[in-house]
Amino acid sequence: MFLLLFSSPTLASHYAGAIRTDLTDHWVGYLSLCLFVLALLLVSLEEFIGLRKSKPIVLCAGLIWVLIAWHAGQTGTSEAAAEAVRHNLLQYAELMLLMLVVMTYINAMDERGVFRVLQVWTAGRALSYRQLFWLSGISCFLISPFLDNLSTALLIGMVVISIGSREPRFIALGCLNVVIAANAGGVFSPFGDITTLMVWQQDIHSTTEAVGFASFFSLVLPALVNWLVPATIIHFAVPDRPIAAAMDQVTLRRGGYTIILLFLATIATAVAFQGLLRLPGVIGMLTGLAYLQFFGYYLKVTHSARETGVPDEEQLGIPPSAEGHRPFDVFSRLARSEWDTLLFLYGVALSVGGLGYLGYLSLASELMYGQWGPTLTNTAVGLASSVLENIPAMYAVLAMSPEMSQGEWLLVTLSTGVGGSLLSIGSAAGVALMGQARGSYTFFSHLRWTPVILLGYFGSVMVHLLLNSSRF
Amino acid sequence: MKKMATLLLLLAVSMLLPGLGLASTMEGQRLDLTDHWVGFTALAIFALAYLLVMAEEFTHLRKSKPVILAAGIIWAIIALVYQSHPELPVTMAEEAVRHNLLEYAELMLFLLVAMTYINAMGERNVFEALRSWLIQKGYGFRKLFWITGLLAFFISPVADNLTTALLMCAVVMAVGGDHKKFILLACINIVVAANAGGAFSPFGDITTLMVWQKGIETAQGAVDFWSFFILFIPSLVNWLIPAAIMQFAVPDEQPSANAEAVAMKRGAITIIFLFLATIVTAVSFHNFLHMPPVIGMLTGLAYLQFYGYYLKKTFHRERDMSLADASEEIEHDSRMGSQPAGFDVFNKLAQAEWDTLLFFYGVVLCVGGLGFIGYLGMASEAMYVDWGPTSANITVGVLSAIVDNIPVMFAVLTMMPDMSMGQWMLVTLTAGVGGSLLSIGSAAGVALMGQARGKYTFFGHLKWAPVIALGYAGSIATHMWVNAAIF
Repeated sequence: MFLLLFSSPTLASHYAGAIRTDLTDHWVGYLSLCLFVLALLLVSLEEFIGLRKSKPIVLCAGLIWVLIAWHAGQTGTSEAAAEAVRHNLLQYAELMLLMLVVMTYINAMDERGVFRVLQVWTAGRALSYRQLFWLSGISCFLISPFLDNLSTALLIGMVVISIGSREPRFIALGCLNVVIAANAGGVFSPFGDITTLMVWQQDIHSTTEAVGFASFFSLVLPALVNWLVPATIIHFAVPDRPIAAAMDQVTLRRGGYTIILLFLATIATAVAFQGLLRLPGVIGMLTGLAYLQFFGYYLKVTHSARETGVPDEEQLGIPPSAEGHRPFDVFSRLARSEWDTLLFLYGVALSVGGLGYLGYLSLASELMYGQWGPTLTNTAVGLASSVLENIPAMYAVLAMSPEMSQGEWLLVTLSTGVGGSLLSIGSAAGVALMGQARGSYTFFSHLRWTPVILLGYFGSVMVHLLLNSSRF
Repeated sequence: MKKMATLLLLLAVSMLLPGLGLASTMEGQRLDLTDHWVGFTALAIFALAYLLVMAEEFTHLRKSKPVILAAGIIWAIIALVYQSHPELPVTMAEEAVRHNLLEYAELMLFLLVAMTYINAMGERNVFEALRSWLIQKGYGFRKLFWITGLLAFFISPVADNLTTALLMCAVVMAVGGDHKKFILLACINIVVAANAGGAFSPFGDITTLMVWQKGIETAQGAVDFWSFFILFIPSLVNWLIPAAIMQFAVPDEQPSANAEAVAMKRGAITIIFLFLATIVTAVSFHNFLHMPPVIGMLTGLAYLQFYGYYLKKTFHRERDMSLADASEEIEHDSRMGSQPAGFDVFNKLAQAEWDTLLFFYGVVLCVGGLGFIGYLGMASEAMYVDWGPTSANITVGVLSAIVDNIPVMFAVLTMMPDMSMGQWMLVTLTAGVGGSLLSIGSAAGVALMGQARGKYTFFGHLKWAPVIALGYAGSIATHMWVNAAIF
């Protein structure tokens, strides 16, 4: 059965990867599904077999597209398939370059001792783990609408990991909290979450009112509930002790403050590119990387002249880091990014993109919108996005463009945005933190709390239905 | 010397400007900004960035830094202008920039995988073993001159020409010792051979890769993987002519250096085979499945990843330890924060040449931006219409001796002149081997100037430029004669 369904022409340019072919009944489709399930199984077993999570999924992505391409060759639709895979690749590239820049900045700050200083500072304030837990959550929730949720989670997650380094249990809970807060915080702002951005850029005219920039802010309270419910419960599991005192005094290495400022400037650039110039935010991020590169050049050129006079870490009784006295090198910072994470995201983007091309996503949304009605479906889409990525799930919905009220559109924005918090592999933020806090924050340490997160999920949906009932 | 270099830079810029006064194939009612202040500003920024790139040798400002910043600024001012034209669709500039980004992403991921494999082979001592074998054979200087050239010519189609040149240079340095003259001649030979060898294979040279990935359709059929092999004989001529002349200058002596034998580490042969398998996968993705080859490359990376997992799990065999001892040692290593002793594929990924990869980003976006403004169309018009494709393509090669060949080729591909297969092959050849004319013309030359500092220099290379130019002319003549059928 070779049914070719071409999506509406307006969407074809934007969401070329969403629907093209319907192979859901074909053996190619079944085999691809099996491969994907098998790969996900291997991913979730990473802790036990020691096979890094990117490896099975990268292979799986390749195999799925081999199947698709082979079939496309038989039916003469090669060009459509190549276009779809390119589309997925572009999506991945934007995510990857964005992450690369953020990771480079974070590594650079780490090398300049920013996080160690923060660690010492908190020890001096006699903060408890619980206080840190709430502080990190709140800041995540507040930063994420401006910066995107991935960058926020990486930044705050790094703070949590470095401060809690003596308490692996806290790292697991802290990261969990950061992921939920970042995803929740991003949902009500087009700059906070890619799926929200997609809905905004689509200029949807719902049956009630247009979905404009301001309408997303009605999701603030539901999003807050989504984070507060699980956070309040997890709170009791967080050790109620002051943070283990770190070592003695540390000073920021030269240029530490400037790098923090440059990072802020980079974020501002990215937001300006996206908001004012309507260019992809990632271009702004990479421009911001150039700031760091030029500052790195300045640090390198002035290295011997100034830095030798300053007491270095060794004299202050801190074990010398691998970089020791070496001058700053931006490329070595870049190279220390979490490659496992970056490749995992590649695998997921292409695998799920492949399944979408085969027609599974649209099949699901079609069935669901037709039989269950919008409210139930929109809630379910969120649950699905915890396993699949939320971006392709949202593509499928947008490509279908069902007739819905503004409230329903906001509901699906909310659910795909926060649904990814349910599993650690459900959102880019979770995947990134699994890489950063390798061994402490894992798939299973997240899974243990899924029921609690689910509670928050349904709570936020309820709040939205009650609070914004006028929009339905 | 500095004065001379500055002069050269100025010359380069002045040649580059009209060269890049070029337009793009962007459809729609894109604004023509070639006469607008935005156009002039963008050109000035790009020229300034390029000036900084060429001054890298003196300032030690890595080449990626200025071009990335320039790319951001150029697109920002373009977007600014488009914002002030509400009658145009708001996403126009965005779509154009995304188009460039995709182009970059494909090439970057491709190179990333190739670099990872090369790094993995390096870590498994593949190159070291080759080097020690060559030295132990006890060849004379003339023989070594030919052997390293020949090896460079035949390795560079598989590995890229930069890696090949670095590897062969290491051999030459090891056997040459203090013999400055031999090292200089052998290095020139290696650069020429590596560039020539890369020109006829998409894996050998970035510019050839760019032409291949573009999937160009011509009147004589599509430009596919195999069509580049018709450049084999012209490339060979390009290397043989200068090599045959230079060999008379090579001292006919015996080197004194000797070295210990190096054995390859466990799994080295398998990794070489996996690399070949990856190449086959990428080629099949392109040829049989009609998918972007980069997807095949990344699938090939998974082979290495899985093999790395096997190597890690069986690490104890490498050291004659029990399984428990080995896992304890790895655990210990990772706790201490040092590099794990076993094979780690992510480590190899991280060692990729980030400066080159980011430079590429900057170049693609800058040239893309200039194209979107309308300059590429202008230059394409001037060169390909007024001069005719043959002289335009030969000029492209000469240009690429001064400026990097990547932006030049990217500009040509963005112009997309309507040419025959033979002309496309000609421009692939010239862009690939034109860089040999000067030491700063190719990545291989630049890298060797660093590796053999003081022995292989800009002026040492320049002295032989006439001979290399002879080879350049010879290869073009050969191509026009041998492949006359496809013009």
